[in-house]
Amino acid sequence: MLSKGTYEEIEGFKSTNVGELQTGHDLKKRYEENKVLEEIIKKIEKRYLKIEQEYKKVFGGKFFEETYQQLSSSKEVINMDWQEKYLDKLDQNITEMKQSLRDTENRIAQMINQTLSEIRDRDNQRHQEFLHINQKVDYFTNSVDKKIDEIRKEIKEDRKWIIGIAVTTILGVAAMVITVLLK
Amino acid sequence: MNYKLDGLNLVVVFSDTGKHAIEINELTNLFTKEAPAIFWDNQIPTSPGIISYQISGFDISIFENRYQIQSKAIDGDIPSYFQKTLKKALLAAKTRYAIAYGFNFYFSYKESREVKDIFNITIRPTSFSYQPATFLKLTFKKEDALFIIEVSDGKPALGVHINIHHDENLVLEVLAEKIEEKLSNDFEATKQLLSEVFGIAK
Repeated sequence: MLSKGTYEEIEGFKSTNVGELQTGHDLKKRYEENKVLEEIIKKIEKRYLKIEQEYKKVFGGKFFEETYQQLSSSKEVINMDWQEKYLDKLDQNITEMKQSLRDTENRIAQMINQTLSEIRDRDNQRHQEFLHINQKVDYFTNSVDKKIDEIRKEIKEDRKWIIGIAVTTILGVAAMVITVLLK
Repeated sequence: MNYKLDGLNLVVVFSDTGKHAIEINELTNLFTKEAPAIFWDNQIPTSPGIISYQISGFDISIFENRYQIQSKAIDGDIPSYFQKTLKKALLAAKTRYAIAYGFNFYFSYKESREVKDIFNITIRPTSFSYQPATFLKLTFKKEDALFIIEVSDGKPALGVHINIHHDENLVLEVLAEKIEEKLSNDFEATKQLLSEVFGIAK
């Protein structure tokens, strides 16, 4: 029988609602996340035990025992209440830890995104600079090529003049020699 | 408006973490042609466990006190082997007590319509603008079951998820015996509810 009638009331511990169809991959991811959480909880429990031991060392084991005895000597209801409160507290701590982990995960994801974005921006900037330098080199190369072409052209022209002068000189000298011989 | 079943699952909520009492050997040979991928640490009873038949698209998982058996749909319908496999999976944990159980059905619609169109929500374009990827939740009750419908748009097609929640205390051996009938009844009720809520017929 439905003891509670609305969606909000069955949300939580007894809910059977799974919002999205999970693939095997989704389940595996969830499994891995849970394993990480388990490790953290184990560490916290270990630390808690250590604190408890330290406390016992200082108070000679009296603090916890006395507190517990006081509670158990009272009515059973109080004892149950204590246990429930302890479990609630533990539950709350775990929930807070999970939330804190999620927040940390979000912060790390944000940092990664920001860093990636900066890297991308810098990369784009470097690319633009590279393109600019490339353009300059192209312009310089074209200019040098043009100059070389001009120099070649000038050398060609000069060569023509030199050959002309040389031929004229040879012909002049030959004419002079012939004139001398004929006389 | 044509709708298609994409997948379904059964979620059983144990009264406590029941992993240690699940006969894992009975869950590793459910399909003769496929060996499953197993993530199941028996040393830690509170840790999660997964048995995944990736080719068949059939997965069994336990997270905390939730035992989930799920399958992808075949040709828009419940696979023929699902009922019997579901029963076997429940019998693997037959000594455990459930405090609730429920089916989840996931449908998609070929016609990409937005949630606002289904319910004829019209607003003046000058006042507010509609944001896609809207999510809407409706709750209905029939006999002892609670029907929660979630409609969402924007993800390649319109999707409807229905959860049929049964708040019932029973041992899994008993649930296994009547699960085929429950699945059949709940699926029929789901289709009826879809027709009535959206005014659609397959």
